[in-house]
Amino acid sequence: MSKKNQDQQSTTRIFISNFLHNPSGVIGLAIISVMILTSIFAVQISGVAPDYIDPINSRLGPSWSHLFGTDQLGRDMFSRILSGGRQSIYIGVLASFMANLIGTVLGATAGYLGGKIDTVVMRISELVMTFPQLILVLIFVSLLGQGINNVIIVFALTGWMTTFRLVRGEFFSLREEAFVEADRAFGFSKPRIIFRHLLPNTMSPIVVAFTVNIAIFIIAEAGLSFLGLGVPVTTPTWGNLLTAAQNPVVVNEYWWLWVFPALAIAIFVLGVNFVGDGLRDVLDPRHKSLITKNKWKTMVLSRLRRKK
Amino acid sequence: MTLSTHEDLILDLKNVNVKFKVEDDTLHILRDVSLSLPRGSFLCVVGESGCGKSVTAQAIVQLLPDNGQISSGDILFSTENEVVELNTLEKFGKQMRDIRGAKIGMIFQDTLSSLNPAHKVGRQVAESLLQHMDISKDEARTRVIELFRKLGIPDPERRYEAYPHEFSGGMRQRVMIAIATVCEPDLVIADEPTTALDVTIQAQIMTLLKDLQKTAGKSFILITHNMALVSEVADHVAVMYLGRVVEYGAVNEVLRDPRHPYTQALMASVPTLDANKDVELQTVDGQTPSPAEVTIGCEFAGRCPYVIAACKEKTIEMTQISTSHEVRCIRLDANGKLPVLVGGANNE
Repeated sequence: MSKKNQDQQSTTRIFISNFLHNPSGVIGLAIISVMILTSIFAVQISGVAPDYIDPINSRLGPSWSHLFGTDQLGRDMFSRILSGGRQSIYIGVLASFMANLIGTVLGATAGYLGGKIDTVVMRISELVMTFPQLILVLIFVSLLGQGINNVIIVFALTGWMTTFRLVRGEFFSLREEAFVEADRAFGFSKPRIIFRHLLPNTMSPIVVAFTVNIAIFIIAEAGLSFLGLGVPVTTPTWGNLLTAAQNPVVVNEYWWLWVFPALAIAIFVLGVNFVGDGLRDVLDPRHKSLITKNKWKTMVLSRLRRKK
Repeated sequence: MTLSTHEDLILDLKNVNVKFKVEDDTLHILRDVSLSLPRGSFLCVVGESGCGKSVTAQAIVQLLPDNGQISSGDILFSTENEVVELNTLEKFGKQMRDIRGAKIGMIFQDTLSSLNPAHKVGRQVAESLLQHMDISKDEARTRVIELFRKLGIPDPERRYEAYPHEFSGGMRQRVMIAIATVCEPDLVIADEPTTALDVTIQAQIMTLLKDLQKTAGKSFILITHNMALVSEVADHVAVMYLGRVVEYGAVNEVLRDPRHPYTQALMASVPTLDANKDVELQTVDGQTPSPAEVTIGCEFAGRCPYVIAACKEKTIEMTQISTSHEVRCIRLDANGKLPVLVGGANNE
């Protein structure tokens, strides 16, 4: 048994070492880890509760006592942004997980079985996709009511189609593979072939879709909350903090009220996308040729070039 | 049909017809295929591409493509205590799935694509075992490692944890054989198991299969187009042409003394090392007709040098020429010999 564990570890170790040698992955992971940790220990780091109201010190610019300034009610923006990350990241990760779960299960089943089931699910996904997503989200929110968990459910219900199409496509090609025929000849049941044998072969696109969806949903939450339809205003999230920018006076006079939450969103999403890039490089052998010896240099150069 | 003087048949195909729907056409792929396989024997099915060898195998295990269907005939498979009519079972029902893998093992041609690239090979073999038998994971592991060792896979403990791409072609075929035989099936169907391998490995794999037949008493159906292989391993051989078994019998009779014009042509076209270099290698004239063409009478008539008008009039029946040899040809005389051709081919 110890031998088995050793070998299992070695596969994982190779994966980890590959990932650690991938510059964008490491940067992304560092950004994400720091932001998650700071949001968990928000109060300890900033020293102020996010909803501590201090009207005398309202609308102060960034200073040493209030790093990111204070808002209309004198609440510390630094503390609010740090703890806002909690909800935003929670929503992004959980919604992405659920959307991916729905998309993967439907995509795997429809892709493997084909025929009528495939047609039906495909039409449903097209229906959801052709409907303007914002309107769909508005309908769901008005049906379910506001709240963090409702936002997650709404995102999962409206955002599973990309993963669905991805997985379905993969399964379409995978089900023709000889090893599937072999699986059938060994007497395995359909669910077993679909989820135990074929699914591991599609893991890399699914993982990448998962990270991409986190970024999308965090931005979507910000947008929804900005419109006042997402998470109730009483809970600080990055999106809710941005709502302040609805007021032109705030945009002009109190820039710290919207620049810092916007930066937080941008940096976190960037980090998630970096990790997605890194995972894709490590998991997908076809992309490996892109990584050369001088990885860091290549990465910086290519990113600069891309910007031009 | 005949040859069933042997009471203990493990597999008995009776007039199996398989039809494929392709767009609006219906293709008759297997025509009245009758084969009987005594327990513990080694049957080779030979014939050129598209003659229905693989479809026969697929029909037996009920894994025909979605557009294919057994239109008539019976496939009888006897287990220890009962005879199952395979063609009446539900394709993906529990009963059929219990037979596939556990009672009938399958070995495939392309070893790299027949193994799941995402799983360790040991797990893939053990999974077959866990699926069909009520044993613990550790026990399965021990048995798989033991089987690996028996099949000549070096360092089986370490190999258990390896992925398919870390194996060579021959080793992968051994793994496939392990999967096919790990549940101790009574019948193993090997569909061109050595086509993708080089000759030395071919020999090793065939020896391995032959050993399994002799020591474990398993029955084998080997599908191949390699005549040299047939003479080495087979007890019985069935020659197929365009979905029909044209000659069937004990291997030494069929290969040494082929009676059907097609078998003769096939044997004549096998290259040998000691052949005269100046003599051109013989080939079977013409091409296999498409199964879409409706043929009346003998399917081989269009390419046969012995053809007469009667060949194209009605379906040719099997003629028994000895207790263990039957031929589907009407040109055989009372001694089971073909007439001597005067002045080469009298085609047309």
